[in-house]
Amino acid sequence: MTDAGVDRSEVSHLFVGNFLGSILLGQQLLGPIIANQLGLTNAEAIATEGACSSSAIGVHLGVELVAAGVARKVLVVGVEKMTGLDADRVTGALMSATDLAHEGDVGLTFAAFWALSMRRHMHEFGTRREQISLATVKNRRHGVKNTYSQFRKAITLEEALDSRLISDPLRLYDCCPATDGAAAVLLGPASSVGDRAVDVLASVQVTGRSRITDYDSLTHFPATEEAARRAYAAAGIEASDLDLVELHDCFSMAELVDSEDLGLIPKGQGGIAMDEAWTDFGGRVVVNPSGGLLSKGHPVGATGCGQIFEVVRQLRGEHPNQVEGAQLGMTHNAGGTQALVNIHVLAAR
Amino acid sequence: MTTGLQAKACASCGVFSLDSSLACRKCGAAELSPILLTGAGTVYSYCSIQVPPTALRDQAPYVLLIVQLDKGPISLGRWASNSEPRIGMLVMGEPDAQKPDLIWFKPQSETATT
Repeated sequence: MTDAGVDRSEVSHLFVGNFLGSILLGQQLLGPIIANQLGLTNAEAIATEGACSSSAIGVHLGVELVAAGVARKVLVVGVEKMTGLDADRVTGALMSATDLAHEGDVGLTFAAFWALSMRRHMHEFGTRREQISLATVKNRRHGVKNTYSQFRKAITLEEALDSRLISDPLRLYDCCPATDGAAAVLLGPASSVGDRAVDVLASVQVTGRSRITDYDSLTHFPATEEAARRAYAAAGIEASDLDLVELHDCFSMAELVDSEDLGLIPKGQGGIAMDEAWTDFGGRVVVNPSGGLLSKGHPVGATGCGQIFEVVRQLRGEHPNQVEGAQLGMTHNAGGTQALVNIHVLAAR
Repeated sequence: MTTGLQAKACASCGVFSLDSSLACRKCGAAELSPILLTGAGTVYSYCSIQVPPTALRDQAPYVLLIVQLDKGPISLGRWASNSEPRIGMLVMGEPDAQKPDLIWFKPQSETATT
């Protein structure tokens, strides 16, 4: 609120994105609790949950309320506490982002979901294991400069390939870590925000599939494809206009598939894109200059707001890993088995 | 022993589903009719899980696979054979006796002998 120059009395709505608090800490009612703590006496306070996309939902709803003229100012807070707790409990709680009644007995994990996608992508397109782990190597290199990263040490491709198996063919360094984190976004009508603000050109939410068996293919995901189509149309842009994208790299494989589904690179060419650095500095578009979830960590409910924070810093020209002259950026946040996808297109003013 | 897999066929678009949804996963139509599939299909993808959910720790490592069943629906199941699965392999699935949502697959070449 200080950064935006907004007084707390102006905030008419507070959205709190959180996923694990009710399971791991036994705490709900986060809307009013955080409103009280921040002194937001005039705000309607609402918690939003959509697994990894929990706080992006709040940003989307906030944009719609502002656009409708209902809200004066909307504060969206994403927050998650994952460390210092029993690892088995955290892993078990994360599985609540799958359809447990239908797929819980089978032993599916999110690492398995992306391992299944990975093996099929390798089969269909000849993608090589090393190309997939290059996504981690790139993002870990980007994360070195980001003071908000959990991991600030670059890794080599050999280290990634030698790391222990989690869900063969997926290895440890193909996975993002559990993290504590929080981020906040303030929204308001264009006429009422200061010159530190950026423009929201598109805010899109699409419902995908909550079960792996609902998919006809694991090498592309319709919710991301549809969200991208709608976002580009709403913003009046093409994928090639983007200077940078913060996308949902919960696993290295997800970065390849998402880059294809967002139209940043052609279908099936995720491997070549990694070899030839199409999505790195000096390439076609910089993907995850913040270091992505693979470096920053993935504090589930905070990730959506965190991605927007990173893009805003880029558009202000203040990012520690700056994309030179960045004018147009995008966030892509996916919950569960791409059961919901949020995209935001942001532009410098 | 149960043979075959319970599925539903959409009266509107013909897509098959294995789950208990009230509407078609493809077109959203509500008219679904029950049908029994043989359990025969083709391996679409597979992985071996070294780090399992806590409840399945004593079973790891185990192999999960996605099977494209004949007639169309995708099935997620576990591998019940000592052989290595591979993409394109012809397999046969059967529901677990206790947990009907858990389907065990093995190569069709092994099912003739059981």
